Amino acid sequence: MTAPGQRARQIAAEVAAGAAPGLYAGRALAAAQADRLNAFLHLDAAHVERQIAALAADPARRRGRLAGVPVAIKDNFMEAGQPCGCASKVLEGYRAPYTGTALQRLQAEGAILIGRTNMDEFAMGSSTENSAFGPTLNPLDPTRAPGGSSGGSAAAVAAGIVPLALGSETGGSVRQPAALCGVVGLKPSYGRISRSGLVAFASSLDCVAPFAADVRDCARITAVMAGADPADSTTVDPASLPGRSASWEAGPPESWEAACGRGVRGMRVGVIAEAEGPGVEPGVSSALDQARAWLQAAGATVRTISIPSTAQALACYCILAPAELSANLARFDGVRYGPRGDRTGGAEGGVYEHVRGRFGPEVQRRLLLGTFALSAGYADRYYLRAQALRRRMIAEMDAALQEVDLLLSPTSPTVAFPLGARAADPLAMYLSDIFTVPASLTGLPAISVPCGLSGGLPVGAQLTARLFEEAALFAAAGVIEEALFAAGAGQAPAAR
Amino acid sequence: MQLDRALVSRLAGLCRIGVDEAAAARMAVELSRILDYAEQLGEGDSSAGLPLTLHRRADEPHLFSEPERLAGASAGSGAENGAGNIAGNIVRVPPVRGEAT
Repeated sequence: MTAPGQRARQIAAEVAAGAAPGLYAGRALAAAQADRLNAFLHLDAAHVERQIAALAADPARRRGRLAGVPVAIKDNFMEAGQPCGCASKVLEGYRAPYTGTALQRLQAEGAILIGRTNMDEFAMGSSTENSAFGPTLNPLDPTRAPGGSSGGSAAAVAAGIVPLALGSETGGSVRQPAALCGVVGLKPSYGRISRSGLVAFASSLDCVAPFAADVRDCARITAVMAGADPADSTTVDPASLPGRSASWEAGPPESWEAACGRGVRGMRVGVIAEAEGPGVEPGVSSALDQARAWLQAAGATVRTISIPSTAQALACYCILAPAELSANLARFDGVRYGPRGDRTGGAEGGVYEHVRGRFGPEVQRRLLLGTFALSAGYADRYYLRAQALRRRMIAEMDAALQEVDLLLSPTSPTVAFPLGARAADPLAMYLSDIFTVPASLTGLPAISVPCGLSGGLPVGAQLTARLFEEAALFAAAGVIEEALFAAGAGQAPAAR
Repeated sequence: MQLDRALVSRLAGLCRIGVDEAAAARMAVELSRILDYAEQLGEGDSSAGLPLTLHRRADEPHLFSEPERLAGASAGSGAENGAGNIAGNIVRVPPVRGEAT
């Protein structure tokens, strides 16, 4: 297990100074093998040993920014030769034919990919209970959910098994479990990190997103993965954009670690009015008030700001995400992907239904919803209205971020909830993401950072910035993290 | 918006998933609740949004009208992908039985 306080940057420094390159990966692998949280779906010791041997033989990578750092990977990333199952029976036995860009960039900087983590099937869910291989348990209270869909990665970091993990974001699948497990989770700007090698869910929303035990490590892994990539045409080099700001907030990835200690003096922070209200647990509100006070004490100007369309953001997401996934998941048909079983001699409809009948209930529910929302007679009423609202939300968020530099809200309206508590009520589960979907729909970068405890469970503060201004997120999250540590209470085991 | 079991079964057929009657009945209730929640999409001001009209392509065959380009398009990569020999715009494939004449 990663030693308490051992961070990715410290491991990389030790390896660069001559420590055995496989020391921490070996410990992480042993801890993952002993894991009782069901955080990991697949571990391959021989594969880890091969990576360590390759790193030992490569002096340049031993000086990399993630040299020898064990990283856990969500089960929807392609790594050549390894299983890629999206926690689904549909992809049982499937092995990835190539390694995606984000993973290549991690390995180029010396990272060791130690295993594949549990998730909601095809990243659809907010508790990791929709996995075909059973739920992951929250390491802070094993009777509770770790959040989702990237709950296995969040739990692996919170339990101290790894200092870094990869998840994916469509509507909050990294920020929400980060909040519920007391770690840092970032959704980068849409277009910041290549999705090459990430199994598609809703392509206008999907992002590669990291978990880290602290803000500086989060800045480092994000910087390693950032950058344009010909394999994903949605990625851009922000420096090439017309009218690009020259402010420090828009600084390049190399500046992000320094930004973590910059502070927030002179920054303007807006607390989203629509994210305050009866649906938010009192303990969550109190912790967020504390975060607001810390930012003010550090020199930021804080005020409340209204963004009316965000009140309908979840309704918008409930239509757009299923509409997109209903098209993306058409490829799991038993011909291109998915096991045919013994039905190859039958009619093609039999093959389809044999394979697609292996989808779990939540995936089936969303397929039905997306098919309905796009059907003739209802597309105008649901899909086009949702697109119109999304466009208005982008305009409103952009306008708000002209008045302030950052937006502040809770990441989740509640702390970690008991396993099974929302399983029978899909809408209640969707409401877990009510504060995370606005940044997803608008493409803006947002981070969740621990800001206190409620009833002994962690609370996450969410900060949202202008497009490609991740540096501002790291600066403000760094202030909250420092203040929480200085307060001497409230931090989760891995928060420091 | 209320969905019934029959409509859910029809949707399940469209998206090629096997849903039995009990599941269809349960899904009908759940989906109706979600769609009721989504009705709030109509509450806001949509003036800054997209026109609320869906432009659909005519539902008719769309023939590719440039056969020379179509055949030529495979000239660069067809052979290495197993498409056989390409001469001009003619693709020669291996004979199914016996030698080519």
